[in-house]
Amino acid sequence: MSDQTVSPETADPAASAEFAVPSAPAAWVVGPATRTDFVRYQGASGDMNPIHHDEEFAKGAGFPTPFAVGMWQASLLGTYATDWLGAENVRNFRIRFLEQVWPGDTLTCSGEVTKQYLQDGERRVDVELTCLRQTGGKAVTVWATFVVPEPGTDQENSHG
Amino acid sequence: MSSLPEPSEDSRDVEPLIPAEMAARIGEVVASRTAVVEVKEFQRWAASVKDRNPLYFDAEVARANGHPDVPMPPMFLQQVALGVADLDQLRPDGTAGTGNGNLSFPLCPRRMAGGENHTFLLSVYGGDVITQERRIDSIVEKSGRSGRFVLVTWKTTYTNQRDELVAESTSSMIARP
Repeated sequence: MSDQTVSPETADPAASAEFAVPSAPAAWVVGPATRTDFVRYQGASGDMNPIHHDEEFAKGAGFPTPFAVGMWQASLLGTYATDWLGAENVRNFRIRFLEQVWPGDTLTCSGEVTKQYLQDGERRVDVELTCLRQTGGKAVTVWATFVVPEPGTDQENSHG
Repeated sequence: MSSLPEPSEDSRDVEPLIPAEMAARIGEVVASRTAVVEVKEFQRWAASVKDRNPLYFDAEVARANGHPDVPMPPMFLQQVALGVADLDQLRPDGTAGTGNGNLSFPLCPRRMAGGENHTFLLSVYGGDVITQERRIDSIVEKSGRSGRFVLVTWKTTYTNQRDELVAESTSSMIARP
């Protein structure tokens, strides 16, 4: 399920620095996605575009049903990644939206380290995060950078 | 996702996709809003993305991790100062549009999000006052495998009540004929 992503072993060794990075958690399966998931995200974010909850509106726009706000599935990857590496450690989060997510979809969120290095006196790690639909199609890809705190500091682990 | 313009050979003799009055708006500030961060709002948002990290919900856990109080989930930042749109003001495609400058490309009715890139610099807490300022960074016509399209890129800065830069973002939209 993660065969489309770069494994840590293939990252450029010249760019790596030696420090321990927490292992990626097991893939996180979310779903089946419901219209309630979409509506809850919309209510919480303030984007009330009816194309994400109104059947008639979505059909009128040429879609078979409402579909998820792209930022919902992108933020699921945020949840996965911050559980892994700590919410206060995220420095960059770059999102590419690919396939739409539909009611009934089962999503699998996973991530892998692509690079670890020292920058600005901080230990950093780049990760590639992928949200796959049950079809195998990619819904979202995220490239994120996290700081990896020194052991024993406050920010070492936020989510026991 | 390069923003370098790539005028296509065959675009010289056809009508440009970008009206002159839209091209003239590059650099314009299209949204400048200020709002207070509400803990309950970001907790609801965290739950909506199935994020039950106790850091966001339990002040004791937050303090044990070196925070003065529960921190805001970073990805909620772009929602903090989002305008409260009236439903009858939504555009025909359902989008609010107001935060992006209501750009109009009559030859390109099909729009889709391109991507977003967020750089986070500081933690944010309930009661912080966030000012979001978004400007049009570029509007370029490009040509890809499926034909001509318009790529719009916005840059957004987020500052707090101490005028500290909290985060910076770029986002893009693709409009096709």
